[in-house]
Amino acid sequence: MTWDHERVEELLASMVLGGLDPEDAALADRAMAEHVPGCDRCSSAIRGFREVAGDLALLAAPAPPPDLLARRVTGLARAPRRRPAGWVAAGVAVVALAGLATWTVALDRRLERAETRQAWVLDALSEVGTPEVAVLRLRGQTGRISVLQDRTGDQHYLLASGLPEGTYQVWMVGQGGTWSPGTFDAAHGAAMVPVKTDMDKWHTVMVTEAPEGPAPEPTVSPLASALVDG
Amino acid sequence: MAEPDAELVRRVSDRDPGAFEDLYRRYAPAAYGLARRVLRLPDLAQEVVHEAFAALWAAPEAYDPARGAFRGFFLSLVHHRAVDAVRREERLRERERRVNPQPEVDEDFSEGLVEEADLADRRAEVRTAMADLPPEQRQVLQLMYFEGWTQARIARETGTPLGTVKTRSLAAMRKLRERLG
Repeated sequence: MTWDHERVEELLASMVLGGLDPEDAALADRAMAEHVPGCDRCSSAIRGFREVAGDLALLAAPAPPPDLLARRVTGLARAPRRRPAGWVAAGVAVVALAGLATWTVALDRRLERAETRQAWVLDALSEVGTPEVAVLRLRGQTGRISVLQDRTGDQHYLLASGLPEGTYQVWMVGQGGTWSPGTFDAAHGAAMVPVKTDMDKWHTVMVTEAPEGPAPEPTVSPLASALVDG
Repeated sequence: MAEPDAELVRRVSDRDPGAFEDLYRRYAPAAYGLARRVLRLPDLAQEVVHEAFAALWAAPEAYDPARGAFRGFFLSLVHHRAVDAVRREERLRERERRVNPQPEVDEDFSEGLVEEADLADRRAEVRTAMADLPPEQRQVLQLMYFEGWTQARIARETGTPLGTVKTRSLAAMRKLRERLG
């Protein structure tokens, strides 16, 4: 393909602003792979446009970030190191789920509860890896928490492992306010919690510690959170 | 004199929490201001900024000093995440507009906020350069950057031919590059 510099610059100028429609975005990706690295003019253009895009951020008035954000962000770096990042791959989730399934059930001798949990696990396992299910990894300071979000239905699952023993509360945050599907106990650091809700109503899912039991509103810094998949 | 950003990022790569906190203090107000401007929703803005800093802590090597200043890299990271989030929120925002059709005001929360001098100076330069653009070019950039609209949507909503929107985007970016470069 022969690339016209003017057209490539036009694509790059809007690419850095996030303003391309899908077709042009694909063309810009192709130009970035096939043309820009070997073209001085377009390489120089993309560097300049990136600088401008960064500068445009300064048109927004700065705002004092909430204290809670400061605590959460600095907590990321102060937390003890644990696993490598990037756990979201569905294949890894399947392995983790399979392990969780085995001992979640084994730990609980009460047959009825075990059967219920087994049903949850089977349901969750049957969903992982399908295009309808997004795996949201909650970012936070401790443990490993993910939500299997069904994009087409209202049955989702929160999976947690590596948490300190204790009680935790799940929160959904949306424009209309905050709602909690409930609390869970992390027996041996792990739990699996079904969450039935219309995810379109929420933009964020988060987990807080709840040593005193269920709270009506989140009043402590979230242990982990993630943006809901759209 | 303040430690250069690139040096702080290098220390973050060495897992230095102090350097990470310095970058937070330096850029959190700009990042949070940007996220609030794009998203309007304080909770969601907080999540976006949190995710951007979490991504920085997880993979500081994603920043390549050869490709430009850290400020541009990081604020663009925040911007892309905010635009992704605002597109997810479109339906919810439409619902809110129907309930409360007041125009959204770009609130200024910066009173009393102290920024490092070079950041404040740069902010003033960018504002002047933007104000000097022809209004139709300025409008295209604002809709794209702060509303998260794509070119096709800008064309549709403003009744402007798509080709004109593309031309204006490029012309505006070239002028800003020349002024600010």
